[in-house]
Amino acid sequence: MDRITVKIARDFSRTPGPRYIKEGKWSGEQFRTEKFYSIFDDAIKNDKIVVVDLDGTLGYGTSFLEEIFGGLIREHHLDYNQILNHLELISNEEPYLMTDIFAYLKDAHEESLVDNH
Amino acid sequence: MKKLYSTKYFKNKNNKHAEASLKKRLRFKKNKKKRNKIQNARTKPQKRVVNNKNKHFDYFKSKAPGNFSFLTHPIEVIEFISTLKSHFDKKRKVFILMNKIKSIDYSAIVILLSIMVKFKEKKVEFNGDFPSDDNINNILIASGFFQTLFKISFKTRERYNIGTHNAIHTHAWKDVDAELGANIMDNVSKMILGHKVIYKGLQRSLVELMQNSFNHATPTKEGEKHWWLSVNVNEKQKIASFSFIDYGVGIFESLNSKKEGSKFFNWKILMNLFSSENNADVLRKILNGDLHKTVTGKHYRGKGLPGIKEAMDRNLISNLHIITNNVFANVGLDKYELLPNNFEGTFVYFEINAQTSSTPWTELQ
Repeated sequence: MDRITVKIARDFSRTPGPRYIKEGKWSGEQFRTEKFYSIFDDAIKNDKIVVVDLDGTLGYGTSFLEEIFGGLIREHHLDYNQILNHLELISNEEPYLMTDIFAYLKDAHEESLVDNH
Repeated sequence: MKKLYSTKYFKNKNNKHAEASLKKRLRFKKNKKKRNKIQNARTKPQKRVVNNKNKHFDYFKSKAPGNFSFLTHPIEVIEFISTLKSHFDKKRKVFILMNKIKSIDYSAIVILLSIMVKFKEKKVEFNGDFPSDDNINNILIASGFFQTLFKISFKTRERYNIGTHNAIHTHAWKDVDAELGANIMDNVSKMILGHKVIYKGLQRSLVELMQNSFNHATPTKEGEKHWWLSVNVNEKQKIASFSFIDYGVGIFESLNSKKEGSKFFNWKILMNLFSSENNADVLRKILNGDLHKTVTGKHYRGKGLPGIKEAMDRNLISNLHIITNNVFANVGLDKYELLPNNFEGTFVYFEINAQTSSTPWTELQ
């Protein structure tokens, strides 16, 4: 499978900010709607792997990460398993972020199941 | 001459009056001489203080705490803030008596600056005298307090930057400013380690705090209140201290005001709180993620305040203190205490030092 690398520090900002656009600059919502969703959607359709490189930023607020990953399910209704099949994470500087991100995806998936019922 | 004035009775009366009058004049002269002696012996700043006192006779005098530190004397500082808030709400002119301050730390700077700006924004007169201790005076001068206080044209802004970059710097805004961390990190790391590094815990803590203030300081409207951040680097001790404050409703009031539909609505019932548990116990639970876990049934994953504690546990920040409503927490020592008075707002203090974990700075390719 082809791989597309998204390095947040390089392709978006070294200082990722809050969750929503209304809260301030460089928000998770901004990144998801302007870049991340289209890249991910394209990767799923064309069977590519999205490699998200989390290193190089000054640090993340937790809501930013929840919004970009959880938002793919909540707002764009992408399939949880499809996301897992097409996602690869790099986080050498903060390895614990990977556990958090997979949990954000799981939580968003479970919430979407509850909402659908 | 009338016959009356030449009588013995009148002459006696006149003499007595003249004597009394002479005594009075001599007494006045003596006192005036004494007063002038004191006045002339005063230095110019001392004269200025005396003149200021007379000039501000119609101001409400408020005495600053002798040991002006939110970290070591929270009860006195909350009392001071409450008094000023009450004057502010009634739009009363205030004169802060600072000459008796014996010690001050950087947690006090952010309080003094933020309160002064609140008064100036509403065009309510705010003034004060100088601390008699030169070191305390120097700290206040370095913080930009006097410069802002005596500014003739004060403009209300969404954003404030007060102080000098190399000493104490105070920032205030309403939105989340993730870029602020970059500038601070640059200064702090160079002063502590001598070279540029990344403090991931600093960035996370600042973003979480700003976001909390934006969303929770006022239950009815987001982004309504300013948050304030004072940063100071002690180059000798290699410690950077961060004092963050907002005058919102505070953590517990914010939780209590959650409306139906919010996952924290009825949080007390969901937590099944025992009656013996007080706010100090609850704050410990919040920071450990237990509140989120119990209420939502999911792991907290470091969101919000627990994220800041997590940063402390990972040695990404240190010496974390939180004061909100009636709770004082020295999180680093796991000491959570109830206060006898209530602070309307949230105050968070933490430090970065030479032992804090950091990530090497890398240029992006």
